[in-house]
Amino acid sequence: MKRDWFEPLVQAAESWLDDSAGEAEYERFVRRSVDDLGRALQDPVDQPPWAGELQQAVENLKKTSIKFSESFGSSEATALRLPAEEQAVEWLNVRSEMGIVDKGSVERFTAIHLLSILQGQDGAGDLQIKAFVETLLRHVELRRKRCLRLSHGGSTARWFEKHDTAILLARGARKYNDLRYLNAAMKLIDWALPVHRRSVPTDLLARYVLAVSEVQLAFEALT
Amino acid sequence: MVLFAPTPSSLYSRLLAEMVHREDELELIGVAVRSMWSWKRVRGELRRDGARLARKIYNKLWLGEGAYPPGEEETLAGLAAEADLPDENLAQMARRFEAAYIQKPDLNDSTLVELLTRLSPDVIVFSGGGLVRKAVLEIPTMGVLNCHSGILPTYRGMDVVEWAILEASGQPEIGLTLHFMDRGVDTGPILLHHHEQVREGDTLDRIRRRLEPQMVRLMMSGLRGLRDENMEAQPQAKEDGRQYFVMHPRLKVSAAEKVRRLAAGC
Repeated sequence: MKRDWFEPLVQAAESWLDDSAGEAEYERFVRRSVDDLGRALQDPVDQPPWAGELQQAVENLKKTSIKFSESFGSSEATALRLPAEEQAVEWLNVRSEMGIVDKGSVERFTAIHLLSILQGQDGAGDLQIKAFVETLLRHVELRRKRCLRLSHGGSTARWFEKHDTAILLARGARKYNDLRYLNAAMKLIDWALPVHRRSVPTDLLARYVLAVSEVQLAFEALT
Repeated sequence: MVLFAPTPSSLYSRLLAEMVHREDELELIGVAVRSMWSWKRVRGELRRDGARLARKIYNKLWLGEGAYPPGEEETLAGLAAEADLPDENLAQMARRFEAAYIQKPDLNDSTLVELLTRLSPDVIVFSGGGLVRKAVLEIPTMGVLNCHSGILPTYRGMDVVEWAILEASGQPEIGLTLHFMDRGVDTGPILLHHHEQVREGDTLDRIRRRLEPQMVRLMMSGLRGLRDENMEAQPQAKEDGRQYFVMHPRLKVSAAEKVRRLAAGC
């Protein structure tokens, strides 16, 4: 096989263009972020609303190869807050006719409502949910970093929607045994990593750490 | 027939052009090539391929046939040697075949549509060059033929060799499908399949390289079948398959590991 002195240049170009992160990089990131977020939870009385999300992320990570022995947050902390299933179905019915992606935009809380139905016990809305998740999957894959523009809402709300969508796709991948959903979720967390590498402990960072943990859990369950 | 090609030096396209020329009662009347260095193309391919674009350019444009491992015969380079393919680009080949030649940044360009309408081919053989729009799809009387590197209707879209391997519980469903293009992604009527097995010592790259000469053979079988009127395309139902997208590098590592395990068990 012909090889020449261009090979190192090609490898450098590949690495420069590669916007994906490896498992080791995520492990370093979540350990540091969990430490940072954990320090903000020192006061057992005044717990921030995202304490439950951090706790859930740590519980997820304990089930993966990223071994965690720590526990954070009080035992009463609530995990990711989802609307009631009936409320989510109602929300979805209103949007069913116009579609959940309209002119390249979504409404804030789309993923959260879909998550609520996805986790519903009766499975009655499975077909409809699959169709919606498929729409989101195509949207994310085709729009890539320009995906999930919000019809109303600023930059922070958009990042929340992206992380919520990553959680939805990762849980959807496990529920429907569909690696395509996991694939899109992995891309969503990759594209957000540069934004969070140096972020301070906030609710947005906690949501991102939760999204990373859900993706890691699904990755290890499905591959 | 008219050939659509991604670059003037594409080995796959050159082999198809040569084999069609050598075949009785098949005539290559035009070659349309996509210009390599247009900003629109670079941007589109960068968005689609990401980091892989650097390797693709290096392999196809710089290394050329030198990118194929020596001693591996089932490759496009092996088929080119077997067919004694002349060392010519598509422009030179078109001159030799007295076929029209056109190079455009976009294969849906209005000048090309005009030329194709004038040539009125029975078939356009698509060997790469980007999306083909409705105006072009409607010109050939039979249609636009494409060889997809996956088994349709199950595996539509990108990286389908890897997806088929990753999803398989036993022997993966890998191979090729010759089909007419329609406005969807790999959803057009199917003419032929070629099925491939994982063999001892296989890697993802080796499987892909082995499929490439089969693409030429499958395309030629399809063209002969259409010429002899003994082949009929079967429509696909949309719900019979799923669309796959570019695989994340971490999942690709898992697919590569699975091939290694399957190949070790052969």
